[in-house]
Amino acid sequence: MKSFEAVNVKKRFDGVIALKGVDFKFEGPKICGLVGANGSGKTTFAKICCGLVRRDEGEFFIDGNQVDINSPIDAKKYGIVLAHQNLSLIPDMSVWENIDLGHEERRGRIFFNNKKARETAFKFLDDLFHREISIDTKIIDLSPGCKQMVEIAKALSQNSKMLILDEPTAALEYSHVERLFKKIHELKDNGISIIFISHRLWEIIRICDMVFAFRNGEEAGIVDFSKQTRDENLIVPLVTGTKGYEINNTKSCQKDFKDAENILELKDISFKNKLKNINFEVKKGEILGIGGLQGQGQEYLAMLIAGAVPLYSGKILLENKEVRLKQPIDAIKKGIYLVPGEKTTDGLFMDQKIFNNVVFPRFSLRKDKFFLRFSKLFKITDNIIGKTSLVPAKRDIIVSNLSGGNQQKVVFGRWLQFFPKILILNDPAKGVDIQARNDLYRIVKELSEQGTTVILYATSNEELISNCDRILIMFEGQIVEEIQHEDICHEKIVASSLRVGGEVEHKQ
Amino acid sequence: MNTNNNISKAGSAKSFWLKIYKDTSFPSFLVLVMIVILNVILQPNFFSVSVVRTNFMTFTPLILVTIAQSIVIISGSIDFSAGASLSFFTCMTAFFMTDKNVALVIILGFTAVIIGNGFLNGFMIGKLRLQPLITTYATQAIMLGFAMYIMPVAGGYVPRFLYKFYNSNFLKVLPVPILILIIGVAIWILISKTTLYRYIYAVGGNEEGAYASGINVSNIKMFAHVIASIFIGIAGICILMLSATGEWRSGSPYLINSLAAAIIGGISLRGGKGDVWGAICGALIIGFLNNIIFFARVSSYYQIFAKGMIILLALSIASIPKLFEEKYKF
Repeated sequence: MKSFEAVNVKKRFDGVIALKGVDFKFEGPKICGLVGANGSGKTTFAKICCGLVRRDEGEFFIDGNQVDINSPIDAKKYGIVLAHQNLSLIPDMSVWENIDLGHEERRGRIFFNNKKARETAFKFLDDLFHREISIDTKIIDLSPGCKQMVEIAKALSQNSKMLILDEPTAALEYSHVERLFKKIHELKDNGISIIFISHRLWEIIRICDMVFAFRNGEEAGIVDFSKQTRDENLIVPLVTGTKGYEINNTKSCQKDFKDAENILELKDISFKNKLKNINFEVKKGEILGIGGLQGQGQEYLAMLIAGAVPLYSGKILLENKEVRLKQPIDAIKKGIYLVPGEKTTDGLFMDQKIFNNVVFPRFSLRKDKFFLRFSKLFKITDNIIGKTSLVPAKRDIIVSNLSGGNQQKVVFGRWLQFFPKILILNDPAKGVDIQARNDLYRIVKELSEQGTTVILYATSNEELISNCDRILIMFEGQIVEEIQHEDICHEKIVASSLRVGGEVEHKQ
Repeated sequence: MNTNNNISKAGSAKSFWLKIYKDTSFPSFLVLVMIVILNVILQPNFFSVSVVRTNFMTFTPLILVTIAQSIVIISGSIDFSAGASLSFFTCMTAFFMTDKNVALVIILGFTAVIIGNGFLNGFMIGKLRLQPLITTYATQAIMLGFAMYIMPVAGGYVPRFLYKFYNSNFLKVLPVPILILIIGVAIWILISKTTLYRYIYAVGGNEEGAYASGINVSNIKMFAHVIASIFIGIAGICILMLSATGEWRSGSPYLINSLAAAIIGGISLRGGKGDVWGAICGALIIGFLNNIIFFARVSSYYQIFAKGMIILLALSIASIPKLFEEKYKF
């Protein structure tokens, strides 16, 4: 694609203005970065470009010719392909069928060619992710990270002229990101333009030729790396809108918890082949990090403590008393709350108002009388909206209309109305912008000072380093390393995640 | 090919059994085996050609309607007008039929079913996005009303050779009902090799995702109904030959039976899950069940009661693996 131009694109949802009139233009095959806080309209713009959302106003020009994009079918015609965040996979279909879907390998006009489709799917997955997923697995059985891989492979396998990647790296681990970058450069050399959306500025700076910054549904500025230096400080003010801005990267004042009381203790916990002999204890008020490569059992561990894995073996001691967690409500009643990794499916009622999402947990806990006092519930909701600085600060907004970061704030915020004993966070900052992430971790720290124990699993090591008092590294379902607060640093975490220097108990 | 070897490496014996166990139609197949065994014990000469033929004279239409119902349910819709379409077909054809125009009347009736059941429902559900349950309920009432209008009491004319043909053996070996069933299943196998088949699953499984993948969702929803109506049409011909009259009540039991069969066969009402082979097992279960009740000499006063109990039992047996699966998910 020689040039792509979008002029004055506008969109509003139910009274919330998502795009106020965006101009977007680049020439020649280029890798364009697209940055902005959550709710700044990046994803909406991407969806409009590929026809998934119909624009209210605006025009598109490809190679100088005006085109009309009203549906994904139109977009496909012009070669615009979007790798979605979490939308386009069919849960009950296998990986290869999903990759094939929409642009089938055919034999004649109507019959499909399974053999060829499987080969294509295999080729693209193998290219990027080295056989980590079997192409016959059903999507429903995959972890969020693997789903993201399939989503990317699906987008790559289509013959596109312009590829839009919407936060492709949010759920990927480091080595995969590297391979993806290599592939992106390859595509550019083949004349394909790429729009790369990410919250991680270092990625943008590394691979992009130019960066568009969005703020509040408008284009806030362009940084062209052919003319300007590759510097974060050029981009950050455009995103935040303020000049001064501090990255919350200082080490928290980690405390020594040796003498504090045990709140949770896991003894010999095993679950199928996902978790093997997990032993650890957490103290009151501690922030415990769980790190390691992706998919080493961390998510199962988080689910297990939250009561969503009923068939484990071993013992869980809560405040030195043994408890058996058979279902999530058992954990919730005891003050163990989970912020799940996939907010849209596991954490929220997407078609309900913020208010309903906040008050639902109250009902299962029987916090209210039979007849509800709405004035009180409204007050609680407003309080939470204020605490988490949700935007827009209205309790009547349907959750699916919120941006990803604000949705996460709803999931997170609804537990704040009770006093959490243990809060389990499963990758809370996935797809959340810097500002919202800082808000979240600020609240986490406040909570831990009040005596809440936090168990944090994060894919990004920076989050673990800046927030945790102690980090456990998992590998193939085992805890292989415990890093105390004085030793916490990036190199140490990476080394133990990859089992460098340690004896690898790996049979292959 | 090199890549191919890698792809099919997982096809060891263990994963083969696991695949069968995890298949959505496996539980219903188990129930079917149990019910067939029971039936063999109760029904004399179970395996003789004439008994097989009599059995399949009633099974074939039910299986065909169940295939139709399954396709529609997998696409995320539901067809409440299946039974009424059958009544409509039999009344129409029996009303107009004489000795000379048999083929013409059947073709016209068939077209009417495809237009009425397939295109009409499909247009309203797919293109106009009306709620499927109520839409098909309404078309059901319309078609039933039409059938009642042209044939208030059972009657009409069906030539003798037509129902004789249904109760005979093709080339003296293959019972005609089974021949028709084979033709129906062959049509289904042909369809399952087209892209349309996978699109139907995609639309039922995740409508938004299918749309995002560049699939024309409303067209696929419509075509799901149209394809289903082909099977309903064939089932209509079977019922016409079976009952040899046109009656507006003739199709009504097939609606609930086909729904029950599809669900016992592992088709999920949420769409996108299950496959037609399971549904065929489900239909056979329902069919054999009626046999069992008859041959066990259950007093006619208790037959409906017994049938309800057995359906519940079959459904619970078929659902046991699902129960485990959900618990073992994490």
